[in-house]
Formats: sequence, structure tokens, C-alpha cells
Amino acid sequence: MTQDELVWLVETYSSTLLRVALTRLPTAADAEDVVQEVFLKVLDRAPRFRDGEHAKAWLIRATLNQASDLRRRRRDDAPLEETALSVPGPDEERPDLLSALRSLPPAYSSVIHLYYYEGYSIKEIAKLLALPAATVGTRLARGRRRLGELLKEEIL
Amino acid sequence: MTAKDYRDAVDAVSFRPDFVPHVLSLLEARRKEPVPMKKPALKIILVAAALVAALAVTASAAVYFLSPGQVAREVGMDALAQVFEGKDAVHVDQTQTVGDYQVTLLGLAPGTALARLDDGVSDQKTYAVLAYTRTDGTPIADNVPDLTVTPLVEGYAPWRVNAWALNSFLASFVQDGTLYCLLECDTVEPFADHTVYLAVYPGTHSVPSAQIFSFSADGAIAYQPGQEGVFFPLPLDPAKADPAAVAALTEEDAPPASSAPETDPADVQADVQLLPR
Repeated sequence: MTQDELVWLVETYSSTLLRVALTRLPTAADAEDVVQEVFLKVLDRAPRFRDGEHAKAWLIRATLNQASDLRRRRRDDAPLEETALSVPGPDEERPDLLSALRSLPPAYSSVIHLYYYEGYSIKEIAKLLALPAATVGTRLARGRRRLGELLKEEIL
Repeated sequence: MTAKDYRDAVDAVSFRPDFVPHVLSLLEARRKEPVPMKKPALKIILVAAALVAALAVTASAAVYFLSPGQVAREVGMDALAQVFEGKDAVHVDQTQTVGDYQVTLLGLAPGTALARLDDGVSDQKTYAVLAYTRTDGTPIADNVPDLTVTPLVEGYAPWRVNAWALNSFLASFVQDGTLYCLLECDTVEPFADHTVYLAVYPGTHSVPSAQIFSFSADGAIAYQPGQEGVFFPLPLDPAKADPAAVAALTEEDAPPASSAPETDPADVQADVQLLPR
């Protein structure tokens, strides 16, 4: 990979990757650390991308994996059931949107983000995450339902 | 919540304004770093150790590696380390060769062994610890494995039930030239009435596909001709099988009528080719 190609990747996809990382990490600084690490890995490992979309898919998956790894290292990566119990109960204050999103299983939060923020279709998300479209649809529906329960409002 | 609400919430988060130039400067600095000098003495020692290991029976592999408990502790999972050090853990110590790597499955902690824990460790997960070394004894320096590891279950297409479908995480680090990986995924115990494998093959995060695996009508899984990779059969207790849980899992992900992969094969093939080995 040439230096120009790497610069193009950083300039083109940093914003997207920072926001993707936010679905699994609590602070902007954490997201910055993870995305920076992903680009360093691109430099070190020099993957060959077919085109911009392929690079984007690779970078998104690498960012999600790196973010999960950071969560694990910090021991705050509670599993699905425990996470669901850790969010505020009915009498407690409603969590903010991003906190609620991060309390979802990672498989759900990333799909919700790509759908609602990036505006991808289910089929496009399936391609980005290398998942069957049916799986993406299920995760989106379940994630949306859980998010609605947490926020106590309908998710449109 | 609408899409606009969501976008507004995300956009309200501020990142450092100089993030792009900051990363570019880091990359430039990394480019200018000198290539680390080899350490001949260390290499000789490691080659010798590899030769000894090759002559030894696989059950002695753990002598040369950190224990699964030490690996768990290293990645900050002390509760899991206790399980690996207790009677509930399954010590495997099997070694197989994948390309330029010797891959050793050190141990396994199936979900129910963890039922009494709450320290960020779940009884709904399966944990496996692996160690990678190079076959030529060269120390590994990069903590990103260029091998993919995924559970697979006979009777279920590799592109349906795998590390991605089972929400896996992989934590890894290098110590003394050995790459250690701790894999966490949704518990595979419900599948215990089938043969459950840990498949390891070249490629970083290479999604199981029809280009990598064949899946026959009787449910058998094999590598495609010319595809490198190994299978570690996992020693699970068939009594722990839970067909209802499996049905719920596979229903959740709405399996298609056919066993053909839904991912564009061209894309998957591109991934496999594009990632370094």
C-alpha cells in the first residue's frame, strides 16, 4: 500500500470509524485510540483492498473487533444478560441514547448504528459485516426492540 | 427515537479536531521506525526448543507455554483464570500445524463450569486458549494473528454457525515469541450432541465460506482442496446438549432454506486473498 493510499483511507474513513467505535466504547478518547490502532495495523499488515467499499468493510470490521478487544481488556464487556440487568430499572432515570445503545449486545448495536446513522440497507450491512441478510434483519429488529424498552419509547 | 434523534446523539460527541493529522503523523513515525534487529542467540534457543517440542508428545506442550489460567489473567480476566486453574476446566494440549504456524489448543472452559462466577465472565460463554508459534522457531512479534479461529459444528453449515454467529471476541498478546489467544464465544455446549470443532486456518478474520469449507449433505465439514487449516475436536459432554437452545439460536438467525452461503462468494474470496498470511 502506498503512502497516498493510506492517507486517503485515513482522510476518508476516520469519521465513520470513530462513530462506529462509539457503539462499543464509552468515550471519544477510547474511540480515537481504537481507530488509530486500526490504521497502524493497516500500515503494518498492508492488506490489499479491491476498492473503497471493500476497504471500508474491512476497516469497519477491524474497528469493531478492536473496540471489543479493548472492552474485554478493561473487563467492562458484560455479556448480554448481565448487561440487560445493568441498565436502569423502571423507577430509575432513563439512560441516554448512546449509553442504552452500548448496553445492547455488540452484534445488535453495530447493526443499529450502520442502519440509523450510516443509512445502509440491510443488504448493504450484510455485505459490510459478512453476515447473511436474514441475520442482520433479525439483529436489527431485536436490537430496536431492546433499545425501545431501554429508552421507554418507540424506535422508528 | 427516530433516525434523526440517533444521528444527533452521535454527532453531539466531539472528537479531537486534529485526529486525522495526528494519525497521519503517527503513521509517518511508524514508517520511519527501523526494522528491529534479529537476536541470533534467542533464535537459536527457540529453534532448539521447537525441535525438542516436535520430538515430544503433544501432551507435554503446556510445559513450554503459559497455562490457560495465566493467559486469562494476562488479559485481565482473573475470574476466568480461576476456572482454568480449577477442576472444571478442560486441558487439551493438542498441537497441529497450519502453514508456518504450530497451533496448540491449550484449554477450554465450557459455559456451565463458570456458572458461579459473575466477574464479567458468563456461564453462557465458551472460552478457549490457544498458543501460536512459528514452525521455524522465529519468534512472533505481532499480536495480531494472521490465522482465523472459529467454532464449527457438524450438521450446521460453517457459514451459519461460526465465530461471527456466536458473537466471538478474541484477545491476544505476544510473550516470549509466542502468540496467545483467548477466544470467547456464545456457549457451544448446546451443540454437544454433535461434533464441535475449533477450526484454525490462514487469514485474519476470514469469514467461513464455501471457498474455505465444504459442507456435505450428511452434515460433515471439511476444508476445500488446497485450503490450509486444521480442526480441533472439542471434548464436550453430550449430556450438556440442549436441542431447544440450539433451535432457538438457529431460529434467531433465520437460517435459509438452502445451505448455500448468502455472502457474496466473490467478496469472501477477495477477503481471503487480500489478507496477509
